[in-house]
Amino acid sequence: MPNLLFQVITVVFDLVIIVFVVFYLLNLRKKEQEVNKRENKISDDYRQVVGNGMARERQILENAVAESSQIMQIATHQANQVLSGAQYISQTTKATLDSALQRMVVDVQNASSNSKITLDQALQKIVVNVHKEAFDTGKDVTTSYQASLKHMVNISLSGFQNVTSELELDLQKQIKDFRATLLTNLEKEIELYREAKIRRIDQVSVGIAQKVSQEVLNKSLTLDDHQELVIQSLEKAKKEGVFD
Amino acid sequence: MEVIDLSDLFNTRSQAEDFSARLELVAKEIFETGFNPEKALLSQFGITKKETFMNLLRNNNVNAESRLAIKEFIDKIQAKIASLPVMSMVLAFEPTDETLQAFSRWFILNTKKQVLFDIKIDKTIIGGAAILSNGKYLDYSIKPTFEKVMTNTLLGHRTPRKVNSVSNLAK
Repeated sequence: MPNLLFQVITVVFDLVIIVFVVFYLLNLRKKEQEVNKRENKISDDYRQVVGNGMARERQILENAVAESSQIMQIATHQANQVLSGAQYISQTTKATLDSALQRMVVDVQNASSNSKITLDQALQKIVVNVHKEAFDTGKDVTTSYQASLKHMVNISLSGFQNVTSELELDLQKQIKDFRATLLTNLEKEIELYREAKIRRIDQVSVGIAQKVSQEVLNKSLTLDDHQELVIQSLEKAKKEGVFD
Repeated sequence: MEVIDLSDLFNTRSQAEDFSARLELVAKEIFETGFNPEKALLSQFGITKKETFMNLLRNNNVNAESRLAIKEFIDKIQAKIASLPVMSMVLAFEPTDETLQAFSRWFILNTKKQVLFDIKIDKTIIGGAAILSNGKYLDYSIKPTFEKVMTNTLLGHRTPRKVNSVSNLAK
């Protein structure tokens, strides 16, 4: 009988074990299903996160590219303006700037392909770098422009000083020539003019005095005086043989 | 041709031309009926010149009663007038007839010939006379002497002026 009991106990125990195993299996299955569900959910969430991340990444990337393009356009435009305004900025500088901007674009593109975790940081860094590069480039351009302007001012000043010196020398030479030739001729002409004027004044003075004196003398002579003077004139003419 | 002094009758060329024209009128009346030489001369020349002309007839032994002799004398005078030389003179005054007669007498006395004066007046010669002969102006007036004296007096004391040089001034 004990065997039977043992057997019953054994059977019960086995049944319990079986139930337990079944229960455990069911529970395990349920857990597996939950796990699978969670896994699926996680997977979905992950995909969603990844998709969102990718979308965001793309958006950020596009924004960054657009912004960088805009910055590059602005920078290029400003650079072009600076370059077109200042003829002294070399093509090398422009090439360097273009190269730097291209490198920035490459960096942006490279950065976009980096890990998803560091994307924001990378983009921020790139944006910062782009700003910095643009600022540095602008600063370089400004410095170069200032240097060019300074150089140009120095050249202009030097040229102006040369021109001034030449002008001064030329003026000194002209003054010297003027004193040497023109002034002498001028003095002679002035002297001649003065003498001519004095002669003319003398002539006019004498003429006036003569005319007045002639009239006075003519009127002061009596008829007999006139007659006597005419007779004297006739005798003088006779002596000279006018009547022969 | 014998010397006939007509200086009492005329002395200038215009006077001579006028005298000649009037004498021609007298000559035309000579052979008219009732010709009276004194009356005819009086009507043409006035009493003074009529007397002068009558004296001239007498001095030249011309019979005043003979019309033919008078005609011949008038013709002689006309020829004489035509042959008289003209003396162009510039005087400083307006001469009177007496003055012209005095000049005419001087010519008769000194050159043995009468001249007809062609007088122009120019007071600027002051005194004396200038003679125009063969296109030349012979100035015997006192004007040249006066001008010389005047010029020497007015300009003779002048000393050359010291002129300041412009270059000296510039320096």
